[in-house]
Amino acid sequence: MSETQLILRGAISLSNNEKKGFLDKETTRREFLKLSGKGIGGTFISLSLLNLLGCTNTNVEEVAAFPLAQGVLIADRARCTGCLRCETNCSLVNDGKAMPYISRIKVSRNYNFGTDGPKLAYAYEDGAFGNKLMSPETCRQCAEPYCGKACPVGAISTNEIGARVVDEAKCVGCGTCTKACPWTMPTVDPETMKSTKCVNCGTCAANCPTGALRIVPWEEVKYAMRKLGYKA
Amino acid sequence: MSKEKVNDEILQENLEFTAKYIRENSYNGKFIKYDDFFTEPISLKEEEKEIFFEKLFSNEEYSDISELKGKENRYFYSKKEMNENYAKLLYRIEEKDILNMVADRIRTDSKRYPKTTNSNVFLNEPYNLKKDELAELYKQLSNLDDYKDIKQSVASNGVVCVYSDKFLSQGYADALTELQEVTRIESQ
Amino acid sequence: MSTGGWAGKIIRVNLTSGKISSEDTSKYQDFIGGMGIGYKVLFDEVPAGTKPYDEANKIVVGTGPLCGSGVPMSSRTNITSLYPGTDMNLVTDSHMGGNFAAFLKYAGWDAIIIEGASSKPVWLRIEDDKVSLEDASSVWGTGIYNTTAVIGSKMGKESCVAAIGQAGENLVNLSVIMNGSSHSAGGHGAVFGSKKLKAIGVIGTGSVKIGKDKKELMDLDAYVMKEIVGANNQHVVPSTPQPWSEFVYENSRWTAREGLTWGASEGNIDTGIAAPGDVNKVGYRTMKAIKDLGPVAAKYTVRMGGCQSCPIRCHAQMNIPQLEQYGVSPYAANTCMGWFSPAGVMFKGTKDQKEEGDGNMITRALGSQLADDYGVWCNYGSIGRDFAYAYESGIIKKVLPEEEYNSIPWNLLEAGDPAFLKEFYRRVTFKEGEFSHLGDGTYHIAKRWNFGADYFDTKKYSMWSPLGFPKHHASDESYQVGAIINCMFNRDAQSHSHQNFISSGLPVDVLKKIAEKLWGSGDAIDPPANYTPMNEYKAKFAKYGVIRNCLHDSLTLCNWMWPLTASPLKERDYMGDTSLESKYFSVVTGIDTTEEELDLMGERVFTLHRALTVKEMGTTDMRGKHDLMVNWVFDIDPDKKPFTEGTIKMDRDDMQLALTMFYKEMGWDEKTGAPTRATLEKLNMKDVADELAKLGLLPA
Repeated sequence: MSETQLILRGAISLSNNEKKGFLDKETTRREFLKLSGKGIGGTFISLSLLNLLGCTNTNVEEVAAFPLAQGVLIADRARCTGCLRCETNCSLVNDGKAMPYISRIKVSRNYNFGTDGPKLAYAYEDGAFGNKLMSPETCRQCAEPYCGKACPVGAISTNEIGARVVDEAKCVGCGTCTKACPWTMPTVDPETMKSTKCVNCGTCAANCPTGALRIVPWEEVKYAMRKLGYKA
Repeated sequence: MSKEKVNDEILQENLEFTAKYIRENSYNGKFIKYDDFFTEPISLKEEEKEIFFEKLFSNEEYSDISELKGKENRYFYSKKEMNENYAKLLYRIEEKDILNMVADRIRTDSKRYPKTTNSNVFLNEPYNLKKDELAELYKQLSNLDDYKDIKQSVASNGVVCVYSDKFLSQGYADALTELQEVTRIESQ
Repeated sequence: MSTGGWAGKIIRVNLTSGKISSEDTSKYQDFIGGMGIGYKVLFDEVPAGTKPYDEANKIVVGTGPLCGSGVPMSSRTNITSLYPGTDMNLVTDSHMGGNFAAFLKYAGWDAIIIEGASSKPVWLRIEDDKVSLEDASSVWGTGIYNTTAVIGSKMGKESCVAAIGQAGENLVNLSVIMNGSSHSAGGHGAVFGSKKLKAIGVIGTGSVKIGKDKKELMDLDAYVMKEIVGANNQHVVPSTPQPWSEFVYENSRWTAREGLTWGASEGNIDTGIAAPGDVNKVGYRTMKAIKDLGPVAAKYTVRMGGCQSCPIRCHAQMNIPQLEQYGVSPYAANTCMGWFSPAGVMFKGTKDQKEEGDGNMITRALGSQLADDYGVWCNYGSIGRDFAYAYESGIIKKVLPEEEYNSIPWNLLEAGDPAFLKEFYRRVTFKEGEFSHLGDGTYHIAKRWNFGADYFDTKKYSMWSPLGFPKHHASDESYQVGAIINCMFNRDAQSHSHQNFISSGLPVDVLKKIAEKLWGSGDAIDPPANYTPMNEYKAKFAKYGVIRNCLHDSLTLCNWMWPLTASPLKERDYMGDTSLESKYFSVVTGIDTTEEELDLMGERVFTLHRALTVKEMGTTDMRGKHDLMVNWVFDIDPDKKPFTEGTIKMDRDDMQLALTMFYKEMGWDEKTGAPTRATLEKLNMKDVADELAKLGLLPA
C-alpha cells in the first residue's frame, strides 16, 4: 500500500485520540518551515494527498495541512486574495466584535510587505507592493507549544480535539505567550487583557471566499479515495 | 450476516456512490454515458445492471437523475445539478449537432434578451469550435433554408455579431451590436 | 442610541496651526458617515467661492458605521472636497477601496477633517488614539509606492497608508489619493498637495463593535453569500454557458469557467465552475484580468484582489515581466478604468510584441503602474480623449511651442509603442510645458486650447456635461434614468445602482418583473436600444439609483456591488434583497432601522449635496445651469427618431419632463430643481434651509 493510501486509510478510521496523535506526530516536522522564509507554515504534506484533496499547488512550502476533528484543514497561500474576511469572522465568532488585531489567523499585518515588512527590494518580495502574494499565518498547534510552555500561570492547555487553548479564567494578559511564539501568533486583547489564540473552530475556512483555507470533511476524503479506486 | 443482506448493503452503497458521482459530474457540466457505468469508478457488473437501474430510477432519493437518449448513446445527469438549458446544449455537443448548437444560442439571445451574439462565443467553452470550423459553419448556415434567419451585424469597431432576423430587424440588431460592443466599453 | 458601528470620534487636524483635536461623531449621525459627514462639513464650514487650493478649503476623509464590521463589500473611504477639474470648484467625492476605511475604524476613528495648510510637507500619523503630524520631507517628491514603503518602515508593516504622488504635490488638477497598491480616489490629490499633506498612515488595534448579537450578523452574511451575492457589479448570469444557469450573457463579469485560470499562480489555479451557493468559490467568479487586459492576460494573472471584507475581488494582480523593459516593476494591479485609460491615451492603438493582444495588455499595465505611482487621475478616461481630440484636430501642433512639440516622441504614439506613456505621465505629473495642461481637466483644457464644439457634441468623446465631465452609465445605456443620474453630481456620476441591475445578465422580461415589485411597474425598464417616453416609474428607479449610491457612500458600502437588486437564484425569480443595507445597519449599529428609514437618510445626504451645489453655484436654477447635457445625447442617429426601435437618441422635451418628474420625486422645486424649505425641513435640515434663505437661494 502506498504512503498516501496508508495516510488516508488511517485518517478515515482515526478516533479523536488518534487524530490528535496524527497532529502531534506531524507538528515536529514544522521547524524547518520557519527557516524557509515563506509566509505560511504547517504540516508537511505529501503531494499526492494534496492532489487528492483538490489542491493543484505543487509547492509544498506554500501549502500546509492540519487534521481537525471535522476534516483536513488545508491552507494554500496562492489562493489567498487578501479579502481579510477570515480575520473579522474569527473575531466576530470568538470574541463578538470585529477586531483583526486579535484574529487568530493573521493576514492584514503582512498585507503590504509580507511577513518581514518593508525593505529596499519591496517591489519583488511578498505583499501587495511586491509579488502580490499574501501571507496568511495560521496557528501551528505545535506539539511542544512555545506559548504553553512559556505561560507563567499555565493558562494554555490542549483540548479534546488537539488544539492548544487559553483558559481565560487563568490568563493574566502578560503577553509572554505572544513573545514566546516564534510566529507571534497569540495576541493579548487590549480591551479584555486576555490572550486570544486559535482553537481550530474552522470559521475562517468555512467562510473563505476562495478556499485558501479549506476544510475537507473526512467524508469527502473517503469519497475521494473511492474515486481513485481505493475501496474501504 | 446473510449473503443477501451483504449484497443489499453493497448495492445500496454503490447506488449512493453512483448518484453522488452523477451529481458531481453534472455540477461539472458532464454527462455520464451508459458505458461509463461499467468502468471505473462505478464498475457496475453486467449481471447487476437490471436491478441497479431499476432501483436508481424508482427510488425517491434519486429522482433528480434523468436520462436523455441520443442517436447511439444514453446520457445521464442530475436535474438538480445541471440546468435543463445546459443539458440541452451538452446534448447537442455530444450528438455533434453543431448547426443547432449554434442556432439555438443565436435565436435565444435575439428573442429573449434581446441581444445579438458575439460571433466568437462559439470559439470558447463549451462550444470549442476552431476558427476555420466556425467560419465554415457560418457559411453553411447562410446556405441552408432552415437557418437563413441567421444574419450578421457589425459594430463600428469591426466586431462581428450574429442574430436571427426572425426576432430582430437589421436596424435593431445593429443598434444592439453597437451598444454591446462599443458603447458598453466606453464606460469601464 | 447606537451600541455599535461608529467609532464615535472624528479627527480634526488643522494644518496651519498644527492643532489636532477629537470631535464627537454623534453630531453627524443623521448623515450616517462618509459622504454625509463630508457634505455637512463643507456646507457648514467652507464658504461659497472658496477655491480647491485655498487654505479655506477643507477635505474630509470619511468612513461609515459599517466599515470594519465585516459586512461584505464595506471598506470604502469617501473623500469629499472641492474639485479643481471643472469651472466652478464644486464639491465632489472621490472614493478609494482597499483597507484604509477598515483600518481607520480599528484605530478608533470615523473620519478625518483636514483644514488649513501646512507650510512644510507633513504626513498624518494615526496609531489608535495617538495622532500626530510628522515631517514628510524624506518622501516629498517621491511616488506613492515609495512613500508607502517608507511610512511602513516608520510605523510598522501593519500600517495602511493613503498617499499622494508627485502629481498631487505639483497641484495637477487630475490627481489621486491612493491606499494600497491600486485603490485610488480621483480628483482630490492636489487638494492634499496644496495643503502639503503627503500621506496618512494608520495602525489600528481596536475593534468595531456590533450592536446586536454577532450571530445575526453571521446569519446575514451566510444568507448573502449563499443566495444573493453575484459577481462583480452584481452580475448574476455567467459569461459562458454553465451547468448551473439557464441564462448566459457574454458581457457578464461572472467569468468563472473550467480552463480559465490565474495563470501566474502557484498551481495554475482554475477559476472553474463557481456556482451560486458555493460560498468558498465566490472569489473566483470574476476573473477581471481578461476583461480589462484581454484574453492573453490570463497567464500573467497572479491572483485577484480588492478591498477588505469583499468576497468579489475585482482588482487583477498581474506579473508581466515585459514591464521591466520600461523601468517599472512587473507586478501591477488595478481594475476597470485604471487599465482602460492608458489605452485611451495610446489612441492610435498598440503594437503587439510577442503574441496577439500583448501590446494592449502591456500598454494598460504600464500606464497603470506609472499613473498609480505618480498619482495621476484620468477624469474617468477623459484625459486620453482630450489628448486624442487635441492631436487629431491639429490643435496640439498649434498650441505647443515648436521646440516643445518637437521634443515629444510622437513616433512612439504613432507606432503604438507604450514607451510613449512614460513621456505622457511624466510631463503631466511634473507640469512640463504646455502639453502638461492635459492634467487640468476637460473644462479647462477645452477652454485653454480652444476646442471646437464638436468635442462636446460627438458621442465618441464621451462628454456628458458642459460643466466638463464625462458620461458614466448615462442615456446611452439606460435612457432617461441614466441621463437623470448623470446630471446630478459635479463630476462623472460614479453611480452603478441602476446599471448593475440592467447589465446583470437577466433578459428584459425578468428585469421588468423585478422592477414591478420594486418601483411599481415593469415600465421602469426599457429593452436595450428601444426606449419609451418618460414615466413615473423611471423617476422612481432613478431615485432608487441615486439615493442608494449616496447611502452606500455614507455607510460605506461599495456601490459597484450594492445594492443587491438581483440574485443569481432562479428559485428566487432572480430577485435580490433591497432591504439588506437596512438589515446590516440595524444589526451593526444596534438601531432598528427599516429600509424606508435608511433610504430617507440617503435622501438627506443627497439633498444636502444638492443644497451645497446650489450654495456653491450661487443660483437655484439647477435645471438651467447645472443639470445640463451635451448635444450628442439628442442629435446622434440623425436618421432616427427618439422612442423608436434601434436608437439611443433622446428627446429634449422628454428629458426636461424627466427632470421635472425626478425633482418631484425628490421634493425639490419642480421648475428649478432646487431643494425647497419644506423638503429640507422634512429631512431635518432646517439649518440648511435657513442658511440658503439667508443667501437668497431657496426657490420661490
